[in-house]
Amino acid sequence: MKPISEQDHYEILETTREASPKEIERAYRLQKATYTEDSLANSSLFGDADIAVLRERIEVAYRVLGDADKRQAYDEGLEPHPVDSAVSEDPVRVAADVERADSEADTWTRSELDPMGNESADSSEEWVAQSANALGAEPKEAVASPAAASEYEEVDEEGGDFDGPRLHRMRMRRDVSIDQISAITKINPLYLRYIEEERAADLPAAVYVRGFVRAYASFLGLDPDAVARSYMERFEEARELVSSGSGRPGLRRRSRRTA
Amino acid sequence: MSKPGRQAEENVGTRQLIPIGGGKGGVGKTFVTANVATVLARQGLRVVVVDADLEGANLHTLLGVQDPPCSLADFVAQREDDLQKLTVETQIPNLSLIAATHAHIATPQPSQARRVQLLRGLRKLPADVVLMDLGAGIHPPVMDYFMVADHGLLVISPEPTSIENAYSFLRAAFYRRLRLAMASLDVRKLVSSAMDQRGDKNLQTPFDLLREVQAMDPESGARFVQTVRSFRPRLLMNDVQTAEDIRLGFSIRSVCKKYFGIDVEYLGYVNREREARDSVRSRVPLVDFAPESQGAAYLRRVASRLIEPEKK
Repeated sequence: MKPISEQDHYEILETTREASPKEIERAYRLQKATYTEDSLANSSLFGDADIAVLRERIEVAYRVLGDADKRQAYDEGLEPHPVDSAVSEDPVRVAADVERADSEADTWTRSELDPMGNESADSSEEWVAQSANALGAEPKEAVASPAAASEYEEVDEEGGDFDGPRLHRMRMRRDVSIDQISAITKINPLYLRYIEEERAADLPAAVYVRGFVRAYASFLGLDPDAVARSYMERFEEARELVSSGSGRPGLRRRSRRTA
Repeated sequence: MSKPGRQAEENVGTRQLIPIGGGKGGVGKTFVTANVATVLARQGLRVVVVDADLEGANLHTLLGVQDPPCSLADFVAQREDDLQKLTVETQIPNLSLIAATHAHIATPQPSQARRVQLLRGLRKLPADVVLMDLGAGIHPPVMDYFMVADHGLLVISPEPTSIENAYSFLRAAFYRRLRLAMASLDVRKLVSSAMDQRGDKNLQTPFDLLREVQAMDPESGARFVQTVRSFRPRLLMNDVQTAEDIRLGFSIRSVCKKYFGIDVEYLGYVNREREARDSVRSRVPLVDFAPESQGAAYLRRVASRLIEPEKK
């Protein structure tokens, strides 16, 4: 269980990391159809701004996962699914279990769903189409062409910790502004700037900062788990130094940068 | 394979108690309940259906039972405590009914204490499956009944009003479950605040609440996540006519995951067809009235999935 701002591309499309290109495509179609402005399904829960954010995340996710090379590069940066840790204080660690059920639709076969037992269909998409035909309806294809591939995703060739300056460099390489991230993630731009500048003393409680860093990383197409773990380790150390009065209000005395 | 009915006789007590709700009236909850119950009873399971809609009872009508001699109203009014004595046989072997006729017009709903007794009593019925047909709305009795299981069934029709009410229903169930699960009084108050949709702007979504709970008490945060994980309602789209209607079920599942963080299982759908309407008029469940119809086949499929062993 984790908020949209912290979900990786697979979670956004509600598919698995093992999904075939066809399954990725299918998941994208469903997501795209679900979060249109006039969709019946999303009325009354999400606001217009939420829907806009979701649509953006769905498109970005598909641009990466719909492209074999970009997907491979993205996958290489992903952590393995965590082992079940329902009692962990970190809610993101239980997402894997929740996620599994999402691929169910894709495993439904016509033989299970069609009372006539025809086994020709192998997906929910085909099930829908064939079932609708059986009902005498003309299925409407809600498929859109994939968006053009962008330069949004790139391989991070740097190694080591995800510190503020590194995050800053990665953001700049993607030509993304602080305000753009803020508009999508709804995180105060000041905090995003402080994260890059490693101003631990000026940031809120760790539980919030972790969420901010995860959202920031997800937006840039980075593995939120890896980035948050690396960043927060340094953050916690800095906080301890600050609270003990023995250190400067930053993470390991990194230089400050601005957007 | 041993006969489930025999097993129920040997091990007194209900094996599965499944509430069937949906928030809105007229979406087909009772139709689905009557038909699913009939399918399961025809398979040899010992089934009891309970009409929990004391303000709009008609399950007895769909099952062809005219003027039941006793009903849940007798339990509510404390004229009878033994629920088994309130069951009446239907025309379908293995299928018994606790009707909801003759409710007190002024105070049809049971008190909270009586609701607890009701649910305990239902658990003790010698049955393989007990299906509860819930009324419309999100008032406390309906939500209490729905929360008796982790995997209650939501019946939705592909209309904006039905979907809106279903989300309200899920929202109410979600927060009530959370509030009950929280041990800390302060956290419970926080959950109560989140239930007020015009309340604290920082608690507008379940994830907002989770963040606050974690900040307040990490242990409660972990319990929060566990509670959400265990809540896995099922979904049936009724009265579908097009592919988009069917696909809507997948979309609702997605919205529930992204908004609440819960996994909703899409069990299937039932199509609109003339035979369904005719079966209601004939007071015979569709699966008996027109067993070769598409709707009957879809209902049989839903019934089989409904009683599958719980997924871990």
